[in-house]
Amino acid sequence: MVHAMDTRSKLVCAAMFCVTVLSAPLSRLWPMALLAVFAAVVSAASSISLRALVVRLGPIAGLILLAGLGLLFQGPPVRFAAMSGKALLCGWCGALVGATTPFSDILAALRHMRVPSRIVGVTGIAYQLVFIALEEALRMATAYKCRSGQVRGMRRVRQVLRLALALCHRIIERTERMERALLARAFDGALRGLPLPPMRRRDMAASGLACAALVALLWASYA
Amino acid sequence: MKAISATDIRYAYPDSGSVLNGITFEIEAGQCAGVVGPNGSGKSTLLLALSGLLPVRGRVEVLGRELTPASLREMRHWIGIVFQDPEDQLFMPGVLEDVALGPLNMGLSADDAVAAARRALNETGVAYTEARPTHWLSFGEKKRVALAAILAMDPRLLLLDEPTAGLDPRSRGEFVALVARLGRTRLIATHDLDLVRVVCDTVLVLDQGRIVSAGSPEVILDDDELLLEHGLAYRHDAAGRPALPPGHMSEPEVQ
Repeated sequence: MVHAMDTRSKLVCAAMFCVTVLSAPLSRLWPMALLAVFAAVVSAASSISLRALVVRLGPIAGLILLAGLGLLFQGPPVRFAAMSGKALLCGWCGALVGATTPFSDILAALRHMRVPSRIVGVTGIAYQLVFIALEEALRMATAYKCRSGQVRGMRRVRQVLRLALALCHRIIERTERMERALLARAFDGALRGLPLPPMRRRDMAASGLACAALVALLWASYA
Repeated sequence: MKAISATDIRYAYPDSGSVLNGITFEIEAGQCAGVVGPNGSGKSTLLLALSGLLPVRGRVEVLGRELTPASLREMRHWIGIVFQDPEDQLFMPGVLEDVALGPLNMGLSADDAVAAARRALNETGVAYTEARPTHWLSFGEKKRVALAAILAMDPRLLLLDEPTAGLDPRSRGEFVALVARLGRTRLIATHDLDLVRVVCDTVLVLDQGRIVSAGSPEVILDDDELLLEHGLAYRHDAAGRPALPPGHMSEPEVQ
C-alpha cells in the first residue's frame, strides 16, 4: 500500500510527520507514543521487514546518538532520551520513505514540488557518486587488505589515512570526468528529469487525511 | 563532405606535459575510422578535443563547421562521445531518466525525449533495463545504456572511447556487431584490433601524440613491424610465448 502511494504524497506526509515529531512537547509522553504507533502502523502496512528498516536506520541512528551525547552532560538523561527518540523517529520516517520509493521518483517529486532544479540535480549526482565512491572504497580496501600483512598501530593508521586521501583524489578525478560527460550531453546547468503523472485523488485524500491527523495531534498535545 | 577536419591540434595537460603534438587528419562523412595506439598515446584526449570538451590549440571542423566556444553549444548535439568507463556517463538514478537526459537538454518535450530514449534503448538491446536504477546494471549493460544515452541525442558524429574494453567475449562480440550497424560517422579509439578490422574503413595510428601512420585496416593491421614499433603487438620467443623486452629477466627466479 505504501509502495503504491504517490511519491509527492509520501514526501508531504513524511515532512508533516517530522514537523509534528519535532514540535511535540517534551513534557508529555503520549503524543510521542502515538506518533511512534503511527510510524509502526505505516511500517507494517509497507510490508518492509523490520530488519531492512533497522539496517537502513543504522548509520543515521549512530550519528543521532553520537550528536545527542552532549545533552547527557547538559541536563537530565530524560532530555537526551526524548531528543534522541524524536530524531530517531524522523530517521525512521526517512528510512521508510527511502525503502518504499525509488530515488529517481523522489527526485522527480522534488522537482515537481518546485524545489530548485540545481539542488535536485546536485542531490541526484551526489547519490550516484555515493555508490561510485563506495565501490571504489571497497576495491581499495580489498587491495589494501591483500598487501597490508601484519601492519599494526600508527603505521596502519597512517596507511589508512593515505588510502582515504587517495580515495578523495579518485573521487575528484571521477567528478571531473562526470562533468565532461554532462557537458557532452548538452548540460546547461539544469538537470532536467521526466515529469510525474498527475496525482490521483486517492493519494491526495490519503495525504490530506494524514496531515490533518498530525495537525490535530499536535494541537491536542499543546491544549 | 568531410565529417572531421583536424589541423595541427595540440594539447598539454597542466601536470603531465604535452599529449597531442600537432595532429592533422580528415575523415569523410559516413566513414568509420579507428584510432589505435599504445597506452598514453593520446587517443582519449583526441576524442575529448574533437568533442569540444578540451580547449585545444589548432583547428577542428566538424561537418564543415569550425568548433569554437561560440559554436559549441549548437554543435554539442551533433557530436556524441561515449566514454571508456560507463560509470562516468550514467549519473541519473534511473536508466530511462538517464537516457532521456540528453534529449531533454536539447529542448525536446518529455514525451519526445522518452520516445527517443526508448528507441535508443531498443537499438542497443537493453530496453528491458529502462525501469532499473543505473547502479544495478552489469558492466556490459552499463556500456550499452551509455551508448543508448548518446544515440538518443541522434548525433551526426559518434566518438567511441574503448567501446569493447572490459567486456566478456560474448558481450564484446555483440557490442562489435552493434557498433558495426550504427550507420553514421564514427571515430573509435581502441586497442581492439579485431574491432578495427571488422568495423573500420580507415585507421589512424597514434603514438606520443602524433599520427605516425594512416591507411586502410588491411594495410595497417598487416604491417607487423609498424604494430610492433608502436606498441600494438608483441614479439614471441622461440616457444611461441610472448617474449619479454630486452633487459628483463629471462626466466622467473625460483625462491
